[in-house]
Amino acid sequence: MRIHLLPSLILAAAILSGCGLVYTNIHSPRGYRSATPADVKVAPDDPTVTGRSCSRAILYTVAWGDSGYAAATARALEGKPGLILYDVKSDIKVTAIGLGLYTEVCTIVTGKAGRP
Amino acid sequence: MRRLAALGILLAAIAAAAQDNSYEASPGLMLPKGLVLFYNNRAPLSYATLTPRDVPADAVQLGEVRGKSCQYGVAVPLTASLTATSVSGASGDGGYWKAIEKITQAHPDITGIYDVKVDVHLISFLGFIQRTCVEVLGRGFRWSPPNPSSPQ
Repeated sequence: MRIHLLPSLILAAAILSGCGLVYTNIHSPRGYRSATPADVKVAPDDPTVTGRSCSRAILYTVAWGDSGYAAATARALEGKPGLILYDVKSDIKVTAIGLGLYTEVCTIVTGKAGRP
Repeated sequence: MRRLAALGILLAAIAAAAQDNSYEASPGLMLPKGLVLFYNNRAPLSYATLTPRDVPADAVQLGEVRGKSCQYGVAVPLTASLTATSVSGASGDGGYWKAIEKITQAHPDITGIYDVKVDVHLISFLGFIQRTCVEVLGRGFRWSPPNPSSPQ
């Protein structure tokens, strides 16, 4: 079976970008200058929290969801009003199943919640 | 082997594009398609956002604020084919300044924002119509510098 390079590369880009070829409606992260311990009132019992936000694509055709920083940080601070994330580590997690027939792209933020 | 190398380079490029420092120049222009008839877009480039340390101690907190600015693009294929050339146009102001302007219009007394998260909202239909928006979410504050002429 002869594999054509250009269509394969385009398909790989479509899979890994999390976009759909027919319809796309996704949020993706662009920038987040998170706080450091020097920016907040650090307390020894500041909890470590994590938040995840994901977008998904199916059959290379439709993509939806919110994998942005705002959603991930909001989930991390759920139930903790007035607190701010600091010492944040942001990761991206990609899951592709069946040659990318189903793709999930997630932004995961982990940090401590403290008072600004 | 060359195909695997090319795929590996593509994977690295996509991964690298997902991570950038907000204060480094990273153009967010909408990519033109096919034969570009008209292109007039403004897009985000860099934004060194404030952190809580930059907020004066006596500033008044205004809570969560958000602003959004968008670029719009249209691409029309010249023939009914998956590999057809298309003619396209794009217009809009999707830059940081427009998004911040929306925030200042909604909160006229705001001095600045910190703890800023910037996301990109992409809506696309068959590649014909595309809207790319920058969404800025942060915490607003109001602050007035002390009057130097007031007695201490």
